[in-house]
Amino acid sequence: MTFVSPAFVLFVAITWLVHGVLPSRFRWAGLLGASLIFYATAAEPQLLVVLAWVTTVTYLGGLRISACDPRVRGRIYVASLVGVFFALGLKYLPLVHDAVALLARALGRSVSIPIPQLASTIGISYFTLQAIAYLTDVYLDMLPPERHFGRLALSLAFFPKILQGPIERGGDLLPQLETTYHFDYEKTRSGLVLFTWGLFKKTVAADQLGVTVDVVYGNVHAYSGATLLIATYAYAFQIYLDFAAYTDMARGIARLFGIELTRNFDRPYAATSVAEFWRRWHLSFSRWLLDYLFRPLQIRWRGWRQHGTAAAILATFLLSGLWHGATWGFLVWGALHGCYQVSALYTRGYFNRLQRRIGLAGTQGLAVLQVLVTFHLVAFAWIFFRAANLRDALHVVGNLPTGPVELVHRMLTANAHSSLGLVPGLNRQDAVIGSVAVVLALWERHLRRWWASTHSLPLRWMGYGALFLSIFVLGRFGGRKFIYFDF
Amino acid sequence: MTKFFAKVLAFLVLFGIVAPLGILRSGVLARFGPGSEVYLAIAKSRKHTAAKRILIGDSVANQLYPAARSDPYIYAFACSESVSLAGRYFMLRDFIARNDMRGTTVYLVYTPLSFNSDLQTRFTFHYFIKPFVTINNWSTLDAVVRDRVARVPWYWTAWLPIIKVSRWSPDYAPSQPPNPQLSEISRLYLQRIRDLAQENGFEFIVLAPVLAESRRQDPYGEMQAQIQSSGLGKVFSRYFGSMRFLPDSAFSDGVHLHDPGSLGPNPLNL
Repeated sequence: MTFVSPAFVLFVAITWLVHGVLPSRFRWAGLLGASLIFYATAAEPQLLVVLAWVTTVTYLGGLRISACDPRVRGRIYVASLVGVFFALGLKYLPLVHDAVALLARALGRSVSIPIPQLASTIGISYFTLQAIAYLTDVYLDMLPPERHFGRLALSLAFFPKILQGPIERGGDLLPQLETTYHFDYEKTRSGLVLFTWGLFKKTVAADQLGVTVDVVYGNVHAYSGATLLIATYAYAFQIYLDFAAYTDMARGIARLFGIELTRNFDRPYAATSVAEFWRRWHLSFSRWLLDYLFRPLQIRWRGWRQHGTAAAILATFLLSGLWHGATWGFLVWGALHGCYQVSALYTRGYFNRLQRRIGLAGTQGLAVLQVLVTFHLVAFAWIFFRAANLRDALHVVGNLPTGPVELVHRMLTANAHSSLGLVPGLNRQDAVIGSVAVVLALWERHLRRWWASTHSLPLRWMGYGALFLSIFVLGRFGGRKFIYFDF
Repeated sequence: MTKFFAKVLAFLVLFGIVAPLGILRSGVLARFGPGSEVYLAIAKSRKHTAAKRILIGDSVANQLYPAARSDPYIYAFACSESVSLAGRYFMLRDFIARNDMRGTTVYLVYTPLSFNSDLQTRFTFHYFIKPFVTINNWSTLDAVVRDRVARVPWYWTAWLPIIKVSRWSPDYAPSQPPNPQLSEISRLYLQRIRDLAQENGFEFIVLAPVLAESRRQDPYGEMQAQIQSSGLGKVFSRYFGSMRFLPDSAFSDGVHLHDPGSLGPNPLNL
């Protein structure tokens, strides 16, 4: 069961109705039951065991940390983290398997080590990070331990966010699970609208781009610089819209149950620096990295002054890359983002002086230039994130320089029936639909605000109706999964 | 809460039923919708023509004789294999109702593997169920067709106007037999078309389109035996002899041609 399926829509409708008729004191149980059913059907049912393990360790760990002698708190905290990391480690079993096989080969032995592997690890990365954040907050006395096992379990397993986040903080989510639910017309309406926008972003915009990206990145050696350039731009927008779509849908559904989840994106491609990009992209994960990884490292290495901060940035982004998966591509992607920010750290003073000297500081033109440069740096890093392997990524990078000239040449000589003849299978109609959808999806928040503020009911309904119909008529429903399901 | 449910209901009626019905009636699906080639073929099957050579067939036939092309001598309404011979029979029946068939020859141009089509492809929902199966004609369909349709999950949603105009289809992709053979649906509806020909006084001939060289060695024995045992030997009398092979490089996916126009306007000399 995925978010883009009639079965899921039915599931949400039934869960919402049941939640509405249940007595208040049992609503958590209804939502928890629905969340476990959803997780079992969306992922491998065996993963329920992993979820149960993490929930139990987190619950008991939290209680023990807060109740025990301050001298042993640290030990209990570490022991609880080890328990949670054990679950997170399941995601890296294939890597362990490969490493062991490699080592055996290097030693001239052909041994087959039976390491059990899960067919899917969907969701593990998200609920384990949430568990780590909860344990740390309890350890630092920033959050009282949750004494109700069911509510803690629900905070980890809540079905709209279990597969792909947002990675909620206990302090944000747990209090909401304690409040009594009352039907709120405005919240319910806005939840449905947000869900519908998410569906639009996924089916009409992201998956339309995904067709081009998959064809080109599936066989990068068959394409020239211009096609690789288009596919790289397309992927930059695809991954944003795909992930933002999931977040919108998750937030929309949660709102139906009176729960407000973290907004994960804040127009990331409008950032004027890579550091700002990370304050706008995957916010719940960025904040997690900042609070639980970067800051502790920065404090630990503060004696090295600026170099300590640089080392903390690099370590944080390398681990961020590894969190996405144990491949060279993700590692290079993380390293690139780390290097971008370390370079900015060391050159910031020089560039600020230069901007003031040539009179660019604080101008609109500089802001536009910075947005463009930041977008291209981020898009460049996405190449390593998307390519099947490092060899493919380097092929794309090597051929990109010829792309702009070829693209202009193709535009001048294009025929009427092909989309510049650059991408097989992409016709002009789909290219136009995809482009319009991407623009609308990027402007979604403005449109939503405008619709909400207009007092003309027919106009509002026309807008909602157009959105609803465009999903069905123009959307792609090819079973293309959400990109971040893999992480 | 009552206000909320009333609004949701009104919205669903307006944009889930009324507006999609408008889209369906506008004919825009024949130009832009999923399976637009099928709607175009259906539209052509419901028109009158003076042409005496009629061509039906699969997507390769549609490459050779596009339904979108206007030809005064050869009237073609070929479309995707997923329509199956059941869909082609329904279209032909509609065509016969509007045209005098005496002295007419109906050519079925079909790739050997298309005969495997048993209404069990991933496009059956879009190309057969949505255009041909309605809540009104469900009880009049053959039991075998109803059986195949019912195997497609969520098949009944095709009756909802909003799904009818949508690109959504259930996630369903059963495996296909690897070698050419007559599926139950193909056999039954070939016999039906043969009987239509006898009743309405037209000639029915099955021909092969151009095929990739690599398909030359395909085992046709099972299919030939099925043709004989089904009493279809006469309509297939020219089929295997009409097979013409081109180098594999001429095909984009082993079946469809890169450049069908290079074979001229009448590649099968009809």
